[in-house]
Amino acid sequence: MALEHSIVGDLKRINLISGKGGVGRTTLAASFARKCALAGKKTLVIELEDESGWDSPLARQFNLKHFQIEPESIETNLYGLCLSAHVGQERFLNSFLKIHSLTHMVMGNQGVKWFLDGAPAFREMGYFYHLLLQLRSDFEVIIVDLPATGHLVGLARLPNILLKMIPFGPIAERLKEGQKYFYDKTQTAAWIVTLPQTLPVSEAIELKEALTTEQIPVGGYILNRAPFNPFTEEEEMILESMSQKSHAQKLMIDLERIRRLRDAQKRLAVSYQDHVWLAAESFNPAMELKIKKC
Amino acid sequence: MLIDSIKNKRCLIVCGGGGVGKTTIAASLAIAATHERKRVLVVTIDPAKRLAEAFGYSLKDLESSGEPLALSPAVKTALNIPADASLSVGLLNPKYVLDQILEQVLTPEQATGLKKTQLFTHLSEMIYGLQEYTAYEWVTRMIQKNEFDFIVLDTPPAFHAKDFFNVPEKIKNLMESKVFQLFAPKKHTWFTTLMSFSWLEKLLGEKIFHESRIFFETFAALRTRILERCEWLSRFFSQKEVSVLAVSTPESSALFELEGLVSFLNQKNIPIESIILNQVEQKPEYQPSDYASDLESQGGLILLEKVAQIHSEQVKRAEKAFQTVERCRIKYDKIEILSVPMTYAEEGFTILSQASAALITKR
Repeated sequence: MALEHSIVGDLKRINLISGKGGVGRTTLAASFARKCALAGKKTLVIELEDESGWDSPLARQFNLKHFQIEPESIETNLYGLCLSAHVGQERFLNSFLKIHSLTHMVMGNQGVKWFLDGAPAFREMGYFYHLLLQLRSDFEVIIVDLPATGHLVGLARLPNILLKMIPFGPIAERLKEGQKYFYDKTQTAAWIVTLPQTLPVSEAIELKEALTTEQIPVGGYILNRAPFNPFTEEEEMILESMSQKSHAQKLMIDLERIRRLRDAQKRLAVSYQDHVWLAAESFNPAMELKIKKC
Repeated sequence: MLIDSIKNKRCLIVCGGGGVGKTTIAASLAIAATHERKRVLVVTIDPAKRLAEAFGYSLKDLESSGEPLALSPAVKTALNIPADASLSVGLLNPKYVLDQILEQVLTPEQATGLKKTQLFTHLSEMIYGLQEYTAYEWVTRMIQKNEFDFIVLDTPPAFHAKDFFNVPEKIKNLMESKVFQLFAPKKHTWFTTLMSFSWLEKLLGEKIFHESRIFFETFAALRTRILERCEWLSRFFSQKEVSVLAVSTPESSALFELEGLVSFLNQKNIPIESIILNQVEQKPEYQPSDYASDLESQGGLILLEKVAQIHSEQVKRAEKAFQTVERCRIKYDKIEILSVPMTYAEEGFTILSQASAALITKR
């Protein structure tokens, strides 16, 4: 069996954790953050606000209801933060107007508030700036849990779309600064979490292609809930041929899970050789998550 | 009970978090419904390729057609759909629906002006709730046209499952907000507002400011229409003709989201007909000893041991899933709980037939 190799060493300063709903992305983000903090690095774990006000799934991993809009200490070396569009917009105006009372007046105006909430792209810009402020800080590791694949691609595309409309001025400068962080593969990595099933794997590969087009460096794929596979390839072939002689059909239904794992590994390896990680399925939630490179 | 809804209601809304198999469940329910109703429509938002293919269409066919497509007789036979019933499948195409609304409400010049703005080009990605809203528009139209007896609506993969039900209110708020008035030509009266907007103009540059203006001015023309619909929709969910189903898997983050959805719908007085737990792991149907002699002769004792390991893992998985389902039954004791077994079938046909059988016969 391959040597256990901690993914912590491969994480970059900025880690964008992405993947479709239900793939276990939030649990992984929390687990990475804990590991980095335990390794002695000053770590910030970030989520996007949920404006409907329900408890946050990421904060729940740390027995909290919500994160705050400023980095808040959760455990030793570990901080949590919730990105807010409104906060980002306000901070940005502040940095530009320089006078707090003026910002308050502008932001306090109900019309402006609705405009910023409702007008296309302004929400994303708010997130973008709030995130940018964190990237400028002294955190050694930053882990961002992005709720849907669309968010990551959207966030990645935003600077390009907006720079076409607003090529100069203070917004353009901030957008370019953000791009510098996002495009730098020594600093940033997007991690694509997926499951060992046909469809999620296809979607993961599509996401990687989209990110590559947007010039966002991809750290790798994480195949989550990988079933335990004790068989060598030779043994798998024996089982395969047994099933073809028809009497072992029922056994094969169970082995199907393992066959899918192999398929998924192969397809992901074709898409991004040497950047596929397995996160083991665990029956005990308290058990530490095991991740190995394959 | 689900079966009563299928027999008596007009519309079934299938909601749940991402990755729980909502679309598959919606499609299976529609198939099941053809045994009770004559003209069934399933509206899907984000179908997988194999699902479209199971219905005999390519994704492209569905995407390019703004109107629902009926299943062919051959596909109907394969899915065991009665000959005298019809099943149509519609893929929501927000751009198509929006274009239709614009055509109805705006003059051609207004529509062209609006479409030319950069903001409009990125509208569907950027306006919150647009996809949901167009889904409503579409379903409303389908109901009013009276071409179908029974409609199954698959909801968009939102940030949260409950966002779908929030949309009418949010859009209503946006439409009633001052933004539209501010951008309307004759209403520049307030000094502070003017001031803040000149700041905005300076900040954003002339182009985007100008574009935003065209955008909001024209969009304001749609206001009345949209407000009417939102009004209609807020009543629609609690109507007797509509049933809401929540889909989840026995996985902890999905259940967490389910909990949020259930309490949200309770607050809104929208009753949930049933909870469907999808992808429930099953106990293995064999014993390792069944194959002991073959395994040993071909791979030695070690292979037999390994198979036993796999077997016991699957038993653990199934037990854990069973306990989760039982916990749900206790927790949501007033709601019907249905479970759909985990499947490893590759064929869309098989997946749909298995799921619809599990939903309808197991009771």
